Amino acid sequence: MDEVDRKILIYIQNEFPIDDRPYLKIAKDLGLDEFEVMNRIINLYNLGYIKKIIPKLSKSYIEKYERALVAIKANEKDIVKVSEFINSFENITHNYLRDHHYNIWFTISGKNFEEILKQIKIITEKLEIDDYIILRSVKSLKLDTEFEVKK
Amino acid sequence: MIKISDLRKGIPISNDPYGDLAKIFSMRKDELIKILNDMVNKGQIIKFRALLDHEKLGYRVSALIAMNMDDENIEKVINLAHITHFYVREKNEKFPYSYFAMAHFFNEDELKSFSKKLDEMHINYEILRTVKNLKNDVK
Repeated sequence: MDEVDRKILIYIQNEFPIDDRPYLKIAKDLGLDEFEVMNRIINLYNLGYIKKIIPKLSKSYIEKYERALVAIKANEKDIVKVSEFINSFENITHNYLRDHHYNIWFTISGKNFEEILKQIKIITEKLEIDDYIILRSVKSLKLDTEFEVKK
Repeated sequence: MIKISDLRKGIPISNDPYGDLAKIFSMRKDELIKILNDMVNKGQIIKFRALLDHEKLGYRVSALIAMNMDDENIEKVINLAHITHFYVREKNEKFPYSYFAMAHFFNEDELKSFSKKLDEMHINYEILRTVKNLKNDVK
């Protein structure tokens, strides 16, 4: 990653233009060539620096859904099996292994809290997990996934 | 009709992102761009942006920080560097914390000075380090 890549990452992390020719818009703003911007972005994607290009959601959309953080205690030897089953549901947004009594922590969203509880019941019963906690989300006060892109 | 959940899978990173996205929805590119602009104007989405891989960018330490604090400290903590997500949650007696933040650091020293700041504010907290991301985003 060179200085030009860095400039491009900082730019598109803030905004990827909705435009007939998005690369041209970025190129103009950064004083670069459209073809170069396109090749660099595709390359940065292939190298794994860019995960995906997604919409930044409005507060009203985020607040339409109920969310919860769920922590379960799974046997060390079952982690792969357990996490694969959890990930098979579409409304699981994050899933992490953590250094804690409860070792698997995942987030789940749904139209209402009953729906979320029902799904957690399916997951824990199927995996025979009896030690778990549900942390219902009251509100989100910060959601800012912009990272520092160092030289 | 385009659903936000479809867009959250990500737009194609190709020579012609919106042209290729239009093909997925079986519409013309100019129709798609009009719909996306309408979604922004109606406030359904704010904009498009790239989600970067923080590990690739050199962030080596990530953690979930569970906290309890006085109301007067909430704003200060939210605005601390390193914090990307901050949620208020219903307290669970088996894990009695009300505030949850995700934080990312380039190294252990950054995490150390971050905890020192929380100590100075007399915040009661627990650091749950990320050992592994179990849900790798599909490209």
